[in-house]
Amino acid sequence: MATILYVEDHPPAQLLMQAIIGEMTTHTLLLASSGAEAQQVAAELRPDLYILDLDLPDGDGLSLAPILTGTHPAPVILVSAYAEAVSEITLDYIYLAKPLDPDNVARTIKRSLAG
Amino acid sequence: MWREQLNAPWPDNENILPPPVQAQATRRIYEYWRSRGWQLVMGEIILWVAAYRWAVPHVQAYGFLAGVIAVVYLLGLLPPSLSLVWLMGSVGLLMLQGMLVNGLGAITALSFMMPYTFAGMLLSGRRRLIVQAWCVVAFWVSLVYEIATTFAHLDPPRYILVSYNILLAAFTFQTLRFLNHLTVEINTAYVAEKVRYQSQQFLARVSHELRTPLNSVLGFAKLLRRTELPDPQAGYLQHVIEEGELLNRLVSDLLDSAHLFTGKLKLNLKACDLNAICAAVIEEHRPNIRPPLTLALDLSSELPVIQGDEMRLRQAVGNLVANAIKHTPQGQITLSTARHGSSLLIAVKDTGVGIPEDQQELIFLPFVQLDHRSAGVGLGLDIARQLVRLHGGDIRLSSVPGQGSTFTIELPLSAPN
Repeated sequence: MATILYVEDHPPAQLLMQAIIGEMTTHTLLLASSGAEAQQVAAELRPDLYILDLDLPDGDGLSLAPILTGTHPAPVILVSAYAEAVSEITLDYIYLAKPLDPDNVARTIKRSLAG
Repeated sequence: MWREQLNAPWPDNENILPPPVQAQATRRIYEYWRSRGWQLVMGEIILWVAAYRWAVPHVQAYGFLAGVIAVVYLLGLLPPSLSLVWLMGSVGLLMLQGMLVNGLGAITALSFMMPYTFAGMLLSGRRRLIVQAWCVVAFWVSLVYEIATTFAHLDPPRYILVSYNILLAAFTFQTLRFLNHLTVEINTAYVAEKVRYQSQQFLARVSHELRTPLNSVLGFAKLLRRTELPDPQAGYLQHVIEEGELLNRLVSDLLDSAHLFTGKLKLNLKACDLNAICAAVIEEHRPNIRPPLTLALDLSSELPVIQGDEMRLRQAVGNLVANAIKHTPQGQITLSTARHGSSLLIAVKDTGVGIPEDQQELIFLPFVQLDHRSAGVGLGLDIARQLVRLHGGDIRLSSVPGQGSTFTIELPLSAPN
């Protein structure tokens, strides 16, 4: 059982991730709705995996990723509703496109935690 | 040729300034004329006084001209409906006066530019052509008249000075016209490009905003599908998901199209097996195939691996196959691969309705659909071609109406830059 930190500012998207993790995995989900909050949670609760939305109120997931892994190292999954992100980011991080497919999310989390 | 000399670089009737912009130009010109026009009238009065005081020949003519110019100035203060009279009149008067005082030079060339420029902004079509042609004619008439009259009275050494003055006048006039045209041309092109760019950015933004709620709709619907649902509800939910996926593909196409245009779409190059890509596309589309339509795969066994973006190539081939399925009511769609010299070919051949030759280039344009009853927004082929071009290749089409079409993706063996 792992602890996952999801950084996302859109409440319905937070609820969806909560439902996916709750129903399809045995992991614990922590939520943060900004980069600043995420850094605080990462330092205090040391999650095993970060899931970051690209579009955050105080920056973007791509620049937040190295800050969080610097605070506490863990694998990163990026989530975005922008299509171009697919080609630009997959080289460095695992990427999930919105709309999220629950099966795909569960599979990707499993793969990230295993790797 | 004459039209080119007189008028050509101005935008044609169709792309004349839009009404609000033209209204703004008119307002600015009249403001300018109201605040500066008196200088011209003062100049005329000084000229008239000088001519009278030193008994210059044609003094009555000067007086008459000064009076008329003052009237034209006042006309210029009237509503823009009189602009044609005003512009034509001022050009004519400047020409007459230039002849009377034998004083054509760079400054007179400048004064012909004023009505020329104003006509370019205030008038369109034939009216603009007439005023601008009149400006050019007036200028050259003044110039020739200057040469014909002054040279007869001058000592040979003065020829050089006058020639210099005339040449400078001609050059100034031409340069100002050129600068004028250039400004309009550059501004028009700049604005058009900016509008295109901004509309694509807007499209990207809207697509993103559409996807955010779509994420919740599809995500929760798929979670719901995992639960035990009685029969009609399970069916309803399946419709929600299928329609949601359709909407998502539409949004993805809009976003891709916008990013291809703004150059934001980058390829993620890796070693690609085109046969595997084609097999995956066929598997993806097989559920959409129903008799009397069949789907066949004809893969070449000697296909080398190339550098490409697997996801994007799959998207391009998928778009061609989806397009073929949409327009082939019966018969066969064949997806084949082959090596041809230094290129690799992926061909999608159908026995569908076919495309008339004069429309074969048209169908690759964004938002163009030959059959308006068919679903979608008409981006599939445009996106496919642009993705293939990003890979350094192209898509060719051969088609016979009533017999079918073959779309061939041609990819170079060497990696794209």
